[in-house]
Amino acid sequence: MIRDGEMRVPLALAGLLLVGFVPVFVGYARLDWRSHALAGAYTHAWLAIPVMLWLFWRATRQPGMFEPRLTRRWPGYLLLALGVVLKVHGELLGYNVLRGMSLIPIALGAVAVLYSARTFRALFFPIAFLLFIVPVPNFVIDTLTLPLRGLSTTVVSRSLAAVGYPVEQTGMAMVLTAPDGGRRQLDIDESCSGIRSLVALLALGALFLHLQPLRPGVKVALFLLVPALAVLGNLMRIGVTALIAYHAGTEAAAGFFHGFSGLIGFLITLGGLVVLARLLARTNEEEGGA
Amino acid sequence: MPERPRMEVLVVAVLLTVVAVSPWLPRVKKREPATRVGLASLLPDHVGEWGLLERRDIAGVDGANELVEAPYVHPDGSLIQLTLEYGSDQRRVHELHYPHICHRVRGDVIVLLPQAPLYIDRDLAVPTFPFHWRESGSARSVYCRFWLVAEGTPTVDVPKVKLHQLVNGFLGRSTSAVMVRMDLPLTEVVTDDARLRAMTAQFAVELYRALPSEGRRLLFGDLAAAPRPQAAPKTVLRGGMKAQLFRFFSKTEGT
Repeated sequence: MIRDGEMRVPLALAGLLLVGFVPVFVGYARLDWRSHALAGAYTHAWLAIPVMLWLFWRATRQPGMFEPRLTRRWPGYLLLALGVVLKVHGELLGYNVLRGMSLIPIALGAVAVLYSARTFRALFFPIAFLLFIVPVPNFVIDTLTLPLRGLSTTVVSRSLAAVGYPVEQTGMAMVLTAPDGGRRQLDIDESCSGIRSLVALLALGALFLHLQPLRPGVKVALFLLVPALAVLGNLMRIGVTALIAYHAGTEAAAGFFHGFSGLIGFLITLGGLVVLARLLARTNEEEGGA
Repeated sequence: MPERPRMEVLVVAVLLTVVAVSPWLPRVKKREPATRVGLASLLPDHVGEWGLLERRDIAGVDGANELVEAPYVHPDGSLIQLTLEYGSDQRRVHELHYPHICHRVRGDVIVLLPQAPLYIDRDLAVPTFPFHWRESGSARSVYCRFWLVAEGTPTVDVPKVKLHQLVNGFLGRSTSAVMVRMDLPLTEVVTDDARLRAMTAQFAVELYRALPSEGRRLLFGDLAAAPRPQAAPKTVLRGGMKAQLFRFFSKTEGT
């Protein structure tokens, strides 16, 4: 059980953090999370914040969480000082990435200074989850988006051609010659690159794996598979959209299905991850039982 | 339960108070480069034997601060389109457009060629990025060669420019850059790029010679703007003979 007195200090310090970071996150909500420049990669942030708070609440419910640290505080001080310097520097220059990212070293540093190593380990994931909420610089998204668009267009058009569909690739677009002789063009723009679902799936994959009873090494290995699964899911989504455009016209493909198809990619990725995690967990159990 | 040392709490509270007030700190004004450098006025009417047809100043297009297109024609009928672009900040707002990426996105067929330095003087070279591009479905091919000058240094390394921008952003500066691009439309199928390389190199050398110091700095980098060592006289004998004759007559006059 948490006693009232135990919570006074963390609540007061959390209040200071809130005052310092609410303006930053309000800025993200107004601009970056819905920004076209970021190709919609952070539209999931609205959901990720309650998830992060839930993770935090879940971690702090463990008994004895707020026991003070008794030895070796200097790494925590270093982390905290680094975070404060980054935050002040980011504020002075109006550098949005620094302003938000500094919350990670500040929060981890404060926990490391004040609480036990057990508390630090328990709160590490909820704090690090901010990595999926604070937008990265535009150029990182740009650098990923263009190759992803090229890959999606090439793989889907070549796969369709291999099974006999009359498809032609022109840059980042595919042109299908329909049975009625009409030409159906599909432009693979930024939002079709898969970047939007990639960041969201990384967040969801990290959350799912965090909650699984797997060894840390297995969790990391599975997490590294998430980008590959996300790309695969996006390829299947584009492929199905192209088939609908071919058989039922571009209007049908661009209508309800275009919005709905995002869910297909999402389900494929998440489904793949769940199956892999279950298989590994079963293998673990069998090895343990043998 | 052991008691928490008060000093730790106090130090953390002080640091977090700094964090809490930080959003209200005054913003430091960034060191921003000029938004215009006058690229159009730099273009000479003649680059060696090449004559300027027209200057097309299309500033404001695609985010760049300045974008100038200038076709130059040679007496033998060949044409080189020179494109100069200036972006005062390599973040999204005024970022340059990298030709090999833009053509690919547009759907053009592009063939990348090995990167090669272009010597504009004995000890002065700029790296260049050459490639062929052709509109999809068109038989007309164009040989293109470009380089960037970011913060006074010529380069073709786009990720390096981006990294530079990131570091500069951290330091409160902007990264300005100029792109110099030459397009040579081909009227026939060319299998040997050596002639195209030589032709664009000759044009670049003539352009360098025709530019004032500020133009050289902008288009070829800071090193190009520095005074160049004078080339050795082509015929030493002639100069030597003149000097000898001068000395000879000086002596005879004196006697």
